[in-house]
Amino acid sequence: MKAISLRIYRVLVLIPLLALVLSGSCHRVPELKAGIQINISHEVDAQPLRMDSIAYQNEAGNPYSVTRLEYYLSDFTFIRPDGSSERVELTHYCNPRKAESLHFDLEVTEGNYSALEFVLGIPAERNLSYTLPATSENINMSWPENMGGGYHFMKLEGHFIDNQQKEKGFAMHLGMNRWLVHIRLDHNMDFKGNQNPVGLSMNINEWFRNPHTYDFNIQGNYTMGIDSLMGKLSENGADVFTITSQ
Amino acid sequence: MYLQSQASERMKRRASIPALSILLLFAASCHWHVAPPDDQVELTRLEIKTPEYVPLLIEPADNLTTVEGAALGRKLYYDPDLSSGGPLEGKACASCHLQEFGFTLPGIKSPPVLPHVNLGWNQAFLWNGAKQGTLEDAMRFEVEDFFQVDLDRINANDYYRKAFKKIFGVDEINYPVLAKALAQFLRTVNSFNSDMDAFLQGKGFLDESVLRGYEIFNSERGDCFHCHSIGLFTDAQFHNNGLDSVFSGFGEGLYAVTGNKNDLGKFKTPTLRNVALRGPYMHDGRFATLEEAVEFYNSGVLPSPTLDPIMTKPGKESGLHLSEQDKADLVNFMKALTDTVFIHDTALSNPW
Repeated sequence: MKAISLRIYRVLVLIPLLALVLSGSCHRVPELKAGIQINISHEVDAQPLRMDSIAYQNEAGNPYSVTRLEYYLSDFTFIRPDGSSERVELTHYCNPRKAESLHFDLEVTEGNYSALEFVLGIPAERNLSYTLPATSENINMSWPENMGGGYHFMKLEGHFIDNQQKEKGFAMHLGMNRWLVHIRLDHNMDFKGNQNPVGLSMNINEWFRNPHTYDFNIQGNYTMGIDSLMGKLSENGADVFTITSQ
Repeated sequence: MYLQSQASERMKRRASIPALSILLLFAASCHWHVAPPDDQVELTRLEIKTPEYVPLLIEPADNLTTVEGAALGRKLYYDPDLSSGGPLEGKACASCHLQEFGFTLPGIKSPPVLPHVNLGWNQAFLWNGAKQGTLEDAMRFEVEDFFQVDLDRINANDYYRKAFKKIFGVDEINYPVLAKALAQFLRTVNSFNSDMDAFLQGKGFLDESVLRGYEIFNSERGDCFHCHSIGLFTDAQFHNNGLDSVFSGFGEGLYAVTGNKNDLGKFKTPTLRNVALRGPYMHDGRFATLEEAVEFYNSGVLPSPTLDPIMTKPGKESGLHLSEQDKADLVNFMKALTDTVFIHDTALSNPW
């Protein structure tokens, strides 16, 4: 057997290794990003939401109106058919009275996805007082420090006709980390290029329907700080959204 | 912008505080100046600092506050010449907005004079929102319609003519530039130095009664915070707080502006800053004292179709049912919103 010097040995071993590494890097297909436009709408059992009008009826039969709806959506995770996923961290304020708040853009890698997950509210690590930009909307959504701090996840307010046929108010306020609403929407989505609109529609009646039928006369017309009621809302909230386009 | 931030932005922000500090130091040492039109002198940008619990102040790009602009606005604010020949002859803005009372005038009932404090955050003005838009829009109304400023008289004033030329680049003073100057001054009329601010900033302590009042205010017991948000102590929105069941005249509130029956009896939430310095309270001045106002929320709330939903919680439809001690604590809390630095600030006082 011929003797090989250490120098020649290194060259013989390193050249193929180097070639392998270079070939790999040269042929890697760059991951292209797809631009996604999230468009949010609101409905009540297929009727477009019209604010301030007692035109709706919930599962318990309470006629009601919506006078205020403000909430946050956070952390969108796009899940591929093979189970891998891509997460976009953000927190977005939504309010049907402010049309500009109902649209925002994201970017994910181009490709096929089979589900979308996000939360209604703000994840615990960011649900701390004064962590969001100090806009008027965010300041007004503050959850008092002496009640735990952070932010309201949602304010849903309106009027309803009670059992005595009197008009009363209701305020479904949701907050505190344990009542974050986790939402998963299974839907086939193909993203390519810059224009990939995704419509999300919130059905207000779903807040009062499943798994808990929420009756303002029985459960109560005010939820803030009442764990048993915020828990019901949080569980009902899992299916308030549907994907309307993509 | 509603897209809030990529997550953990706050943490990144904290991590970058040293870097930001260095940048700020540079910015400060470099005297950030506002580029003037060609024939004007350079103006000095006035940065308006606010605590973190206060919303960001949004200034219109075409009227960024400068030291010179705010100083000019201050002169106008205190100048009775603004009303010469008009229906308010002899009056200046400051005639009804006295610094010692938090830039308002106590004792007026119909309607009480709203304080000129933290107006830079407003987008709706007057009790019923009759004026909407920017602070410049509101000041335009003040000079053109309320004071009916005699422009010839103002243009004949050598000081004003030169100052407006220097600061706004105009050869002739008109209503829009008068409004801009007043708006610049009013964006500096901010109150964030009360005992409550010291407490919120971790720099001061509250006595026991005030602290109890703070907890009542800021919890479901008092539920004041939903409308009087901590920070500006107003959400700058309109609410029917249950003063009346039937509405007429000025009591119709926002309805008189919008014509929408859902707005009947709604008024803009007034700030509680320096509230102890003024009175009477509510849009028609029906309560002479803070004690009376608190008693109303405790036992006098009246139902109506537009009553704010947060005031109809079970068992508290007619009021909060607080104890005598609770009510006294709430009043003491509101007194802790008095800003003695603000009412004695010589930078805001009469410059003439």
